[in-house]
Amino acid sequence: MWISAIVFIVVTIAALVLAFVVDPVAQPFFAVATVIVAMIGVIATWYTLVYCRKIGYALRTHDLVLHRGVFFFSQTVQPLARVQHVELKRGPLEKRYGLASLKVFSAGHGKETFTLPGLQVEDAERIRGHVLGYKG
Amino acid sequence: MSEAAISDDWESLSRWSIVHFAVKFLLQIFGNLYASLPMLFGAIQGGLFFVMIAGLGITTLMVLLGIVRHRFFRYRLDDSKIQVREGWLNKKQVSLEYQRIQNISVEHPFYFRPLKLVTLKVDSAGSSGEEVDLAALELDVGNDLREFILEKKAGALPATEAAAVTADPSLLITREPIDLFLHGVTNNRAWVIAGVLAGGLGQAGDQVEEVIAGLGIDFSTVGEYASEFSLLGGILAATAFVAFVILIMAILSIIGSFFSYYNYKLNTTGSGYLETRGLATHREVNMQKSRIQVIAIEQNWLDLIIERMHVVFEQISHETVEQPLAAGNTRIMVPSVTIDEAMMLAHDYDATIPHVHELEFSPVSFRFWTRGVACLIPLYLLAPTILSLAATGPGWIYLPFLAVLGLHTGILYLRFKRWGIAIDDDYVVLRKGLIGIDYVVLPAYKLQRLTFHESPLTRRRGLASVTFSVASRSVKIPLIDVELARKVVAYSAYQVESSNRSWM
Repeated sequence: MWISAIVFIVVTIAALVLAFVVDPVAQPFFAVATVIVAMIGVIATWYTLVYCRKIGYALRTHDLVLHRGVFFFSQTVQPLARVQHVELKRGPLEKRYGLASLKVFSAGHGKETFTLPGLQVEDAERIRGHVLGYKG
Repeated sequence: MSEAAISDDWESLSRWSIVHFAVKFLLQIFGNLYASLPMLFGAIQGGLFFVMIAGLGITTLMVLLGIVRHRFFRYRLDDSKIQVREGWLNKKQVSLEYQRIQNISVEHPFYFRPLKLVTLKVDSAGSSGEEVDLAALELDVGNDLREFILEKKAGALPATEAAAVTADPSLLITREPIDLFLHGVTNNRAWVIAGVLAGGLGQAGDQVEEVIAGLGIDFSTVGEYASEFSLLGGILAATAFVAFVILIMAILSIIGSFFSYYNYKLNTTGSGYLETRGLATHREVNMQKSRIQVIAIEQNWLDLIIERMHVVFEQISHETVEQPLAAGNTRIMVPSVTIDEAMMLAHDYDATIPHVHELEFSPVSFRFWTRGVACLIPLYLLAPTILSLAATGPGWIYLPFLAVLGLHTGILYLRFKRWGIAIDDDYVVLRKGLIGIDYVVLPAYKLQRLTFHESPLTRRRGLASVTFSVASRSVKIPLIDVELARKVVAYSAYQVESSNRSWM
């Protein structure tokens, strides 16, 4: 999530720089385009940050609940008794900052039920241990 | 049990299995019928000689591939698993433990029937790649192996389940030719093919005309007629043609229904089902009750008129949209039953399943319809507006779009009327459909996950949607009361988490 925020910030800055560099009188179309891109970049950055803040999970005795969404809110309940397997994933940036993502899979379709992003490694491992150790 | 089957030695299949492999390769190529139809038309246009050469070439290639596959195919059964080793350049080894086996079926393909040979198919509950086909076994060997595997499987299970696996089957339901006829009429899958054919007509128009002329229907006279009565004649000709295509498709569909479901028998073995069916290719499918995830009672619009429906027992499925043709192996479908028969089947699975006609369904919000219409209006008005603005087209360009819009809103209204949810002890029952009514009966304790959805608009109206996912499918019920939605999620989650019952 942070990665996409960073990407959006970079795009925004690049667009703003371009907007200052070009001569708006000579190339009005280009100037307008960069401003629009910059605005979209700002909105996307804001949205991503809010989206990340809104992601929440709850590990309860018998299930794992994830809720997310700024406008379109959804809450998924994954009973621990139905977890097939879990996957702990750490990308280069996540490694750098001591984070990890935990993917939770249940039966029936190839995709994961959900991913818990940006957990502290210790938390991710603790959750994984709890999920795998669940008995009845 | 023939002692030969269980030994440490790797067995090879009979030479006749080459036929099986060749046919399988062919099916893989032409399995995607819709895609291969235009190809076929192209080939026909190339002339008879070309078709013969191409056919001969493909057949030879398939037989060669079949020989190679047969040459390197080895299998063996031991106390705990079946193993298959195959492949010449790419070696592949499958090891399938008996307890993980989901389906065992003995098929009598039409090309093995005169030889009294069978194919034993074994599927696992694991990934879709883990399946074993033992082709061209002698009938006795095939049946022995099935018995052997069922016994071994039973040995690996708790005693209660085991007793039922080996129990003698008792007949649950049969289907008579009249039922298959009705099924063929109401479930006209040929509509899809008709669409593709229409696409291919441009390519093969001449041939189709020849065929039609050969049948003694002369459309050119209709055409002449049409030139005199222009519009009326044109409509008549088009109607006649459409009726003709529908008739042909219906006949094809009925024939297809007979081929698939001839002599249909569903037996119960206590904790499992044994389904036998098929005309040219005879199938026997064993399915364990505990593996069933969903019971669906489905009805097409034509079914509604004759008060029939079909019942589907769905298992864990790995088939996604890529392999719709393979889905037949993971489900048992009983064609064209009455509601009483449908409930009888459901009650055989579990006597506590509520009668779907006696349930009180909570409807979805009327917003489902108004929201849908609100989305449709701009969709349908955009194109004609652009057209009339850009090309200063005539005002009546709106008419066809408005007509379709009207139709679509009607369809949406019917959908709205069908949607409903009811909860009864162990079961969540969803009602949906367009004209025919479908019921999806979900055992709550078999749910894999639940999702609750809200959007800014639905939140303001106090509405929410819920997705129920079991291992065979997901169903999303739109726009129900938010209190109800929360209650349903909490109740279902409680059922899953408090129940010790296994979902497979």
